[in-house]
Amino acid sequence: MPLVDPVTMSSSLTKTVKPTQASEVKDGKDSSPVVVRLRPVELQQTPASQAARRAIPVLIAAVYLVRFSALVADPVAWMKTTLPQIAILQVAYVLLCLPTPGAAQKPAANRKLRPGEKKKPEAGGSNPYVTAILSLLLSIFVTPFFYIAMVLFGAPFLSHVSHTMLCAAHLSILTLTPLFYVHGVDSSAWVAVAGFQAPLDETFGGLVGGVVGAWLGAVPIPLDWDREWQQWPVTILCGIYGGYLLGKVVGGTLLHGKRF
Amino acid sequence: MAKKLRQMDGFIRDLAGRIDEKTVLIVMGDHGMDEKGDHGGESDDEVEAALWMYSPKPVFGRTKQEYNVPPGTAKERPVNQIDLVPTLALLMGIPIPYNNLGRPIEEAFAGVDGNGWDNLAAAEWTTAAGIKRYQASYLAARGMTTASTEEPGSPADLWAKAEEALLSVSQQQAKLKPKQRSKSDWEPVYSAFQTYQEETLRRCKSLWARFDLQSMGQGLLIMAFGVISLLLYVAGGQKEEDVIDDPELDAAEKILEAQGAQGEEKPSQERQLVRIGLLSASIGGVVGFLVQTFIPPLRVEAAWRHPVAFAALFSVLSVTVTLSKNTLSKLLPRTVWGWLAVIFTLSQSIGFASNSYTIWEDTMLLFFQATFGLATTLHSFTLPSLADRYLSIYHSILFVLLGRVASFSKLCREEQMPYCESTYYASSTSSTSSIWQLAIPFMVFLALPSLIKAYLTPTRSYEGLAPTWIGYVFRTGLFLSATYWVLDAADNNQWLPAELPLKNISVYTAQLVLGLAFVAGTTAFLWTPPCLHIITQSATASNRAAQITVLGYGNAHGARYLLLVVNILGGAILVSKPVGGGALAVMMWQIMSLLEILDLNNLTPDTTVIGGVVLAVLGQFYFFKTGHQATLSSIQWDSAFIPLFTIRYPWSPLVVMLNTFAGQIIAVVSVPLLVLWKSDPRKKGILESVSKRALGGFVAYYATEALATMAWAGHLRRHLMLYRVFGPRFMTAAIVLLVVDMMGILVSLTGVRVNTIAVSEVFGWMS
Repeated sequence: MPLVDPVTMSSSLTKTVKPTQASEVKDGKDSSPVVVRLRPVELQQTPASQAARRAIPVLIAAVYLVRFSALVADPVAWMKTTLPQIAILQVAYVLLCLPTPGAAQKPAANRKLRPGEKKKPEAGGSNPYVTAILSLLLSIFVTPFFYIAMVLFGAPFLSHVSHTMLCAAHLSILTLTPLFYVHGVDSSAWVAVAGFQAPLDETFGGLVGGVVGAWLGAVPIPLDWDREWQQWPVTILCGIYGGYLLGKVVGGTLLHGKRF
Repeated sequence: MAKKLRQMDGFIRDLAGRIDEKTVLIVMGDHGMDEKGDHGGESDDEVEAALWMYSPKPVFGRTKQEYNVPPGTAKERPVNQIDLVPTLALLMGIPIPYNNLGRPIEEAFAGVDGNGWDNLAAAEWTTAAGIKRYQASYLAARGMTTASTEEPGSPADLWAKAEEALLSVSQQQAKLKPKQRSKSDWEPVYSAFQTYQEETLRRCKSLWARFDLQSMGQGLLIMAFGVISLLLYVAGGQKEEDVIDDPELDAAEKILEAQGAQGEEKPSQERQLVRIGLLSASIGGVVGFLVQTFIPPLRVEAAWRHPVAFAALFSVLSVTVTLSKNTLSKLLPRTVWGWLAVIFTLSQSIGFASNSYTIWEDTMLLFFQATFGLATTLHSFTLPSLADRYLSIYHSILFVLLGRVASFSKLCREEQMPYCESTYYASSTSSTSSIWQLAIPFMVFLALPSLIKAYLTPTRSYEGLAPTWIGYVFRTGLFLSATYWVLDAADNNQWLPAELPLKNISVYTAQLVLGLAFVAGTTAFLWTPPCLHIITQSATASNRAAQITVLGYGNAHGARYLLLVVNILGGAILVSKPVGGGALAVMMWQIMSLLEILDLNNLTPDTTVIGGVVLAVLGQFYFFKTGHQATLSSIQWDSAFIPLFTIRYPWSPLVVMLNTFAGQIIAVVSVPLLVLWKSDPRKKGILESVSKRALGGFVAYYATEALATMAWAGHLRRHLMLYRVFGPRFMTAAIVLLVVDMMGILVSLTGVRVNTIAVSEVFGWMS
């Protein structure tokens, strides 16, 4: 005998209709319960900051381009020597250009550079230098995750470990140090970043650019051109640097404040 | 470059100085190069290369003074590459290969003084005689009659003339005294046989190396419009975001409709399309007939071709035009997911223009899976419920991880060397599994049924037939499969005394597994009620009303349909060899995680086609992971003997097909799950959702790849790699598309219909 009471049935131990409900909540404008709406990071307006903002990308590009032939000749040695240089440049960048930790959460009008202590005391409090170093360390800690991601995308599993690990370190230090500096370990901010709901600015744009660049960097590898620069992970690194710089510049200017 | 050239020069000088008098040194390029450095095409610069032959013993010579200077370009005194065949054979004193069409290189037989015409005539005559014999048997085999000698300039005519010349010169020579004889008397004989060889070669070239561009163009046009109409059809099925899928509202609407005036019933879109397509096809057929009859320049040998081609073209064109009226704008993806689907499909299609991307297709497919997994991981962060978020991240990572694990199953093709190491068999030269690989089917037997159970229990769907079928029958089948491969190995390696009828036992075991999977499995699938458990509590003191609890309600459609997938999976695992079976088990796991991801992130086929495309990518990926490549040599013919002792039609080809396309078949059979998995049992229009959106998107991927490989193979028809890379990939894509279409209609859609009826019967509503 067929059952006819749908109400009873839908009360059984399932989550049948949940997906539609979830989507309704999500689609219901910007009142998503968990995700905070981040503000785009506004850079410091001091002359030093403005100068550094222009100079540091040029310096990064210079570090990268000047010794490109050395990168092709010996990727591991190149990545080892340039990693500290890039780290120093990124620390200098966050200190000179980015607002003091926590300020990103504050309204843009608050230009007093007062640190948002109550947001994240664990990120180093008010001291920008400590925060910068901590951001660098945190981004280094994330390296193994990027490494795993690269292996999952098809990078060599047991061979070329130092190649892949150093490449992951470059990606991590380049793209994550600024983000750790502005967001600290504020989980809600990071959820917004991971869910692509953060607004585009120099920091988030750099991350998106770096990741997309790394993705595109894999494209030329299979070609049978037998070129030295096709060796792992030169093209990925090219993609990371190109993508990071492009994403950072575009995120900081053209698409500043835009959301996905 | 200069340094490299000097180095090669030194090397060749060194080598030339060291070889003895019995050795010939031949230096030649395998191809030339054009200005851009390309060397795979058909331009003269790419095709022509240098040839240099050297022997310390003075035997080579030139027939004319002006030939003494080496030619400046390949345009002067060229020789065909095939001319090396008779030249080398004659120089080494071995028979000229049977199917030779080349001729001896003049300089090699002209003698030091360049006047050895008798020798040249003998060499050319010998070669021409071989060619004549080959041509005679070729024509006989093709059932063609030899052209008569009457036709002037025909090979037969030329041969007769050459023999005439030979006869007259030898008679003339016999009359002369030895002193009066001149070697150059033989020159006409030499050139007569040479003319015969040239004409034969020309005819063979026009027969074999000819491309029927008109027919290729027709085929491409039909295919292209077929793909476009399919894409339009799929895009047209996309629901607007504000459409509410509420069964109660629909029911109310129906009642209203029933009460209201019985308006003229609008024919369904499909019916309309079929009508238009058939009408246009008949018009096209007539047009094709008229073209064939009244336009002589377009007339073709096969009289049926134009009518058929025009019928197909007219019908796809009319359907395309009908569909494009209001759906053209929908073709452009509007979400990240739509873009991902387009990027996956399109980038691979473009990649088929390059032999590298065709060769490394399996790695690209892994890359796409990882990209999808990354996207869903990131999207999970936007889910409002924390539990959903973690689940979605877990399944996304698991999905990618499983794909990466499966990627270790490799059967490399020749072109992948040396960057690939085969793991499918015991060694790269063997075609049997190693001993440790025999453990894989047992691991599958232990793990897979429990894994499937784990995906059914959250919705309480491990009810009804599921525990018996998955927990016992399917598990028994897997155990028997594993046993089969142990018996097979024991038989191959003679582990047991020879008198034991191991082959018999193993073949009957295999037949039992296939019987369980396909005969018993289909019967069970047809008759079983949904995987539900209905608990009725009678009225008690505390609870006045009787209460009915239905366990498994949330996945009533999906859980039942899964049984069909499990059946086909069981058969496929048996015929896929141990490593392939392991890969397919991982595939099943990946599919179930994919279903969870799509459900959690609300990426149902009604909103986006990404699910179908990712499933198609998975299917293609596991084609490679079950030990196949897009080459004819990778077909596992021995799989025909898994359930049979001898070749038996139609069973043997079917088994080989199941072995070859197991990945795609499991994928296409799983397509309905994209719609059914955890769908509301009251959902309306399931069959339409499955066919229009899920299966449509899935097939669109394979159709686009087939079109791309077809177009590129046609475009690169003179490419060096046509017969190694582009041609076989096109053939694979064409067969895969057929298999997917057939299975999609015969198994998936039929399965959905059966499934929907069974579910509706229990709940008492019809969809």
